[in-house]
Amino acid sequence: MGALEIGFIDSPSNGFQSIALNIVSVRLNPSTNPAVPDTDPNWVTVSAPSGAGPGELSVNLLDFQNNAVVFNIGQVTAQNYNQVEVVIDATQPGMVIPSCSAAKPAAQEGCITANVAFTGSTNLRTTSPVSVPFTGLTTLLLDINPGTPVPPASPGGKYTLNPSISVAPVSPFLIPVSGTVAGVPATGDIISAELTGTNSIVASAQLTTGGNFTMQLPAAEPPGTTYDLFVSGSSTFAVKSGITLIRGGSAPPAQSFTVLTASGVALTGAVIDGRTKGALTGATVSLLLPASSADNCVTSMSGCVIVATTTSDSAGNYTFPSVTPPPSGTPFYVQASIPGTNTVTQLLSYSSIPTCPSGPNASNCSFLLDNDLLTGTITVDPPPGAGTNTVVTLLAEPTGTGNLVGFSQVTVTSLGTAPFQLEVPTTVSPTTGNNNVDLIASAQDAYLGVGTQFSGHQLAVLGNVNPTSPPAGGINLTVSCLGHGTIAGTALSPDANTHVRLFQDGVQLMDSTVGSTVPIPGSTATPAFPTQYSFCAPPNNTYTIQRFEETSATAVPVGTATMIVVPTPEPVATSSPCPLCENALGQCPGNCSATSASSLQP
Amino acid sequence: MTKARLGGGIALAMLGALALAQAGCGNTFGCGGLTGSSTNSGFSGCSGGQSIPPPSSINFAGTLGTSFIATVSDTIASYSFRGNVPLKVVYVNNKPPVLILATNLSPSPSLLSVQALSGFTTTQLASTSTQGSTISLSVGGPLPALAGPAACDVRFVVSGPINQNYEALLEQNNNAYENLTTAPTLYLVGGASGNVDGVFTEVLGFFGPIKADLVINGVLADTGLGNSFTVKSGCP
Repeated sequence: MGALEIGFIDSPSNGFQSIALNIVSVRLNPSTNPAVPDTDPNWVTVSAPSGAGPGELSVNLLDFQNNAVVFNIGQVTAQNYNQVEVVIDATQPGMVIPSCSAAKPAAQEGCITANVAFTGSTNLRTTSPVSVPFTGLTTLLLDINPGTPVPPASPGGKYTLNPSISVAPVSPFLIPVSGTVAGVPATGDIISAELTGTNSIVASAQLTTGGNFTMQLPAAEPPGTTYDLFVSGSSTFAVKSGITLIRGGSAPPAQSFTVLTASGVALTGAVIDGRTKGALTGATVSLLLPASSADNCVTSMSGCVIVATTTSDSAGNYTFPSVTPPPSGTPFYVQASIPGTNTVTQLLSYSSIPTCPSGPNASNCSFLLDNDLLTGTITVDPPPGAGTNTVVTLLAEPTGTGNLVGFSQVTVTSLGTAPFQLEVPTTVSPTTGNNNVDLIASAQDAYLGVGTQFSGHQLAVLGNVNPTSPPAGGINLTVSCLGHGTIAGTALSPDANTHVRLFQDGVQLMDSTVGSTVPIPGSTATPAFPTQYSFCAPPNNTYTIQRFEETSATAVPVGTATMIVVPTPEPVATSSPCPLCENALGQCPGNCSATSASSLQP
Repeated sequence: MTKARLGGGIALAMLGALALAQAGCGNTFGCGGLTGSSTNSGFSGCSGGQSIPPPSSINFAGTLGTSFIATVSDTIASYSFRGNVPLKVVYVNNKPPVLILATNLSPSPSLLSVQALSGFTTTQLASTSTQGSTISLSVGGPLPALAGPAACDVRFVVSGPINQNYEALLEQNNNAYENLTTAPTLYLVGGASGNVDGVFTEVLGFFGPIKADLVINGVLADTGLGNSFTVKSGCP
C-alpha cells in the first residue's frame, strides 16, 4: 500500500455566492483506457474524511479559489494509475447560491439555494498518470472547474452544471512538511497539522515504520499559512508551533519529535457559568501543550498547540480519558471556551489526578466562565402567519470587528415579537480594553420551502453596546420582510489577500474575498469574474463597503469606504403564497436585481 | 470566504449513505419484547405492531474539531445541542418533517458539512466555512414552524474512540430502534414517556471502551462505560 493525499483547488466565478458539490470520494484506476467502466473492479477509493463512518461532504468551490484544501489522505495499492475520478452524489450533485441578476426585472431570484443537475456523468473523470510508490507520500491536486451554471427555466428549478476536473501542479499551492518522530512504539501514532492556535486540523497522517512522516499542506500568499504540528496516539504528546508556509516558498526543515511510551490518567472537570453558576453544556475544552517552556498559554496563545479537544456534557462536565504526562519542563494548560462567555486558560498540575489550582474546584480542573446578559425584544415585520414561526439569529461581535463572541436564536411566533437573551463575554477585546459589542439580528428564511443562507428580511443592527450599561429603553431589534439584494463590484489589481467588507451603521456584516486573478497552471478554466466580489445584502438599506489587504494578522483598509444603497425589489402579485415572505403591505417582494458598486482601487 | 455569514440556511439535497446501518427495529437483540416495523430498513426481525418511522440522522462532518450549535425539530418537539465535528445525531421516533439548523461557531475558517438522512436516504446536504453562518436542512419537506421543547427530552450521548463500531438498541414505551454505527453519536428519542433504556455493544474491532450517558430533561439519569452495557431510567 502507498499513501495518497488528495487536494482540491478551483477558480470559480465569484458571481455566485456558493457553488457547492457533494463529494463522495476520489478514486483511481490503473487502466490506460479513458473509457474504463465505472464498474471496473480495479478502482481504488479515497473516501470523504467524515471521521464518522462513510459519508460525503458538501464543499463550496469558492472556498478553494485562493488556496488549496486537503480532502483526505488514504492508503491505496502502490502502483501506477491513469484514470482519476471525483465521485459526486448522483442523486443530489450539489447546489448553487446565485447573486442577483443585473437584469431589471430579473427573471430569477438571487441569494437563494438552488439544487443543480449535471448535463453529464456525476463521476468526473480525467486521464493523468499518477504513480503511488510503497514509501513516501503521493499528492494529487485536482482542479474542479464548475463551468458556467445555467439558470433554470422557472423559479425553484435546478441550475445545470457541466463540471470537469484536471490534475493541477502541486507546487506552488502545497508545500511538503516532513520529519521523524523518535521513540514511537508502533506505527499507529498520528501526526496532525492544524491552523496555529486553533483546533482546526487541516491534515493528519499515520507515521510510517521508523516514525517518518510527510504531508503536503496548503500554503497561502504572503504572509502565508501558519501551522502547528503535534504527535498523538499511544505515546506522550510532542509539538511544534508556528511553521509558516508561503506559496511558492521552500519547504521547512525536517521536523524532529521525540515521544515516550507512557500510560495516561483521566483529566476531568466542570465548566460553570460564572454569572448563573449553572452548568455550561457544549463548551469546547482544549488541552494545550506549549512548544517551549517560555510559552505561557495563560497570557498568550503564541507557541501553544492544541493537542486534544472535547466538549462539556449536559452537566457541564468534561473528560479526557487518557492524558499522558507532559514533556519535561513544558506543562499542560487547559482552555475552556463557549460563545457568550470569557475564554479561560489554566495551568494544569499533572499528577495521578490532574488539577487546575487556579480553578474553582481544587480536586479537578474546573472553570468559571464570566459573562454579561443582554436582554431585549426581536420583532418580525409583518408577523409570521398563524401556525408558523420565524427563527431569528442574534450575533454579537466586538465593536468594529467580525469576530463572533455571542450567539442566540429566538423563535418569533405569529405574535410578531419575542424576548431575547444574549450572553456576551465581560472581556471581548483584551488588547484595547473596549468591551462593547455590536449586535446583528437576521431572520432565517426559506424560498419556496427551501432554506436560504441569506435573509429576505432586513438585517437589524445595533452598534457599540456596553453590556454593563445597555441603552435606556432596552434593546429592540426589528427585521422587516423586503426580499433579497446584491451588491456587486470589482476590486482592481487584487491578489489572494484582498478582501472587501460590508458594513451597516458601522457594524461589520460580511467579508468577501475577490475572484482569483491568476489561473491555475494547466487549468482549463478561466475565472469568469476575475476581480469581482459580491454580497447578498438585504435591500432598502445604506451600506458601506471597504477594501482591505490582509498582509499581516491585522487587515489594513485601502482607500476610502464607499456608501451604497440597495433598492427594494418591486413587489409583485402572485396567486400563490409568497415564495419568500410577505411585506407589511401584504405583497410579495419581486426578484432581486444586483446593485453595482464603483471599482475599488488598490 | 466569509461572505455567507448571515442568514438562514442552505438546503440542498442529496443522497448518501450514513454510517453503517440503521433500522426501525432490532435483529441482534430482538426487540426486547416490543414489536414494530419500518419500511425503510435494512434489518428485520420484528413483526407486527404499528409502523415505525425511519429514524432521521444528521452527520456533522468537515474539518475535525469544528464547533457548532444545532437545533433539530420535527412537528412535535425541538432539541438544541452543541458539538464538535465529527458527530452523528440519530433522531428516532420522529414525526416528520424534520428541520435542522446548524451554525458554525469555529473562530477560524473550518468546514462544517451537514448531511441529513431519512433511513438510508440522504435528503439534503449543506455546508459553511464561515463563523456565525447558519445552514438549514430538512427531511420530509418544509417544516412550517419550529416546535417547542420536548415534553420529556430524552437523549443518549455516546462517546468513545472515533470510529469505534457499536450496536445500540433504544427502547421506550412500545417501540424500539436498533442502530449500528460509530462513536461519537447523539440519540434523540421522540415522544418518550415512561421507562426508557439503551443497550450498547461494541462490534467489529475494539479501539477502546465507549461511554453512554442517558440524559433526561437536561439531567444525567444514568451512565454506562465499557464494551457492553445498559443504561436506563424513566421520564418523570
